[in-house]
Amino acid sequence: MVPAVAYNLSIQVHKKLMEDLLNNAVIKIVDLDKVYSIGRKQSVIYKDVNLEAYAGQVTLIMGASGSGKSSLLRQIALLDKVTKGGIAYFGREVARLGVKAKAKVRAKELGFIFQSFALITEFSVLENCCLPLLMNGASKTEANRQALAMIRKFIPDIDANNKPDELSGGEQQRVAIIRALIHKPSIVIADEPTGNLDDFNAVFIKEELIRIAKELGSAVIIVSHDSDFVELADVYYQLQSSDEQGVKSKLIRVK
Amino acid sequence: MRANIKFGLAMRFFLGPLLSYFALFIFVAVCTFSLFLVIDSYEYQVEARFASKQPHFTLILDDSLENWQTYKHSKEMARLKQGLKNQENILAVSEFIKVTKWLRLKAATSQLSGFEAKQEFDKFSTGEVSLIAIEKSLPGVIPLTELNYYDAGPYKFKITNLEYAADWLTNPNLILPNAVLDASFYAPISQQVSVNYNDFSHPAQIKAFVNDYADESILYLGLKQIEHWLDAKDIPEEGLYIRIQDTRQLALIKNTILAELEMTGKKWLVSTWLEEKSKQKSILLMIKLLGYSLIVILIVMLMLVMALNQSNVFIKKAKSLNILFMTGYVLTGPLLLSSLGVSFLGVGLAYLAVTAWVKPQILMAFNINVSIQEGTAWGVCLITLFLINGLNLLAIKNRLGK
Repeated sequence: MVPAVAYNLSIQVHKKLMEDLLNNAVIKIVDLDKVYSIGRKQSVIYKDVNLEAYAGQVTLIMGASGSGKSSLLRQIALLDKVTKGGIAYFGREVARLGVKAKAKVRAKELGFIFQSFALITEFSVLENCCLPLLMNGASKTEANRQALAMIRKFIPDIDANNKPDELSGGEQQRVAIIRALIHKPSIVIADEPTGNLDDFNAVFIKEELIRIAKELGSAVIIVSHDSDFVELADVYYQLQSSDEQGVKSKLIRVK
Repeated sequence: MRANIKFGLAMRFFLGPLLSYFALFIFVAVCTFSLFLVIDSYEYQVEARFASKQPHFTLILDDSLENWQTYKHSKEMARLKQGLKNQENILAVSEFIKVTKWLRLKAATSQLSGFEAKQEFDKFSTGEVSLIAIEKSLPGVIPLTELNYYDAGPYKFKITNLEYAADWLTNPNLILPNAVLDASFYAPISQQVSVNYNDFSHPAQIKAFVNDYADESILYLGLKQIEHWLDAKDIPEEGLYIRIQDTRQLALIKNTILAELEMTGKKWLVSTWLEEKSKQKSILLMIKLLGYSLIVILIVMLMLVMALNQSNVFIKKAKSLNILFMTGYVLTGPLLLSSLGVSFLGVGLAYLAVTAWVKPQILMAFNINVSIQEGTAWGVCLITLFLINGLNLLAIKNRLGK
């Protein structure tokens, strides 16, 4: 039995998601909450977060450390549970799918770039780049062929047979970008993509990431401290301290 | 995504842990099957080597002595005896008398001449002895417990239980029991003795057999002898004594006997040999419990090792697994299937190793043809297998399936 309040809320969420279909938003987040439970104590990180991201646009989320940027990103990427609110990809509610269905959505629609590069150290550059293609049903030969083509086109200076440990930070992040984009995802999620890089590599990564993503028509969501992204971003949100009692942050659209 | 790619990935990440999983299952399954082999074989050996040589039931009428005295001469009693004798597995049926008396034995042999025994004993031993009188067709045997130190010439034995059997009472009605005649099992020690009981004294030849299983000193006599000794007085226990062919059929024969007894309309107390031997029964039970405890300890240890192993694997591979999970790879299924696969393989190999290698080795080394309760052993192994894999699934889901 669904309680009346929850039922009305879900109707409202559904209405907003339906409207979103018309607007062609790749991602629409409606009234999303993040609550941490430590024992009996509950801590609300953010509440009623609303966000939209469109194809070919760069959406930037900035905020102080601990404001909940990474938590929001994990929820958007379907890596964390959603207790209240909704997340829709192309108008389809995805937040409450099962583990396997979420994994399928992630494999098809998402590409990830992280501050720590998140490359599998046991695998070579080529094998790392093949992973999303294999996950989407490509044969090993086909995946190898496509991955090699991408590596030769965008990172020709990197040996495809090298292991991530044998590469510099900048090189690893470039490999991570290729891996994130190789299966032409609709959404690219980047968590502090330049955080571990020197200035030269950071500039290069920013330009490359945005150029390739725009070329593919992906919606890019970046969480970063780097204010240089503000200029490059089409939409800019900030997680600021909330005035509401017991709630840590609120999401404000700045640009 | 093709299943083989997922399996390939799972194998690439977890080949090492799966191999250790496999090795642990082989180890535990070998131990489990071997322990069951030992427990079952011990029980089997006790039955085959001892119980089968002293197989009997005693039937005691649950009424007063007067009733027995009346009943034993009745036609109904004759019918019951005949009915029991007609059963295929019953070797002999006899009336019996059982009484516990202080019996003094005095050794007087050349072997022991010049050897001074402890003052409280006459050279050989004294002790509480149960006298059981039975008919001619049944064997006579005299086991004596708590015999003290026996040192005679080249022999040096600490004899705790001896089973005596011979024609030492010069009783032509007594026949040696199977166990005592089985020279392959017990090496006999012959002794000339004199038997002193009140005024009764008689020289005799004793054959003693070391018998670790005896928990009671029993002197089997003829009915006439015991009546002569005891003057037919003070006899607390009387009934029927039934020798059977095969103790492994105990339960079946007991049912047959009970069916026969039901027809008499009387209440009978029926005891098997093992039920009368509480010590032997408790030793068997203790060995079983010990074996089962070892199995439980092994399984608990395996679970702890598995839990630690899992934690270590997930700690070491956490980063790569998280990356795979983010990219959409849920490896729960392949990991669980491969864990189940290797654990089944481990148990199967262990079973083959125990039956094809350990059993023949035991037969060769000890000339013992061992048996195993395969159903129980497999049951324990499979329950362990599913329990551990269930825990494994929870651990994998907890780490991967958020």
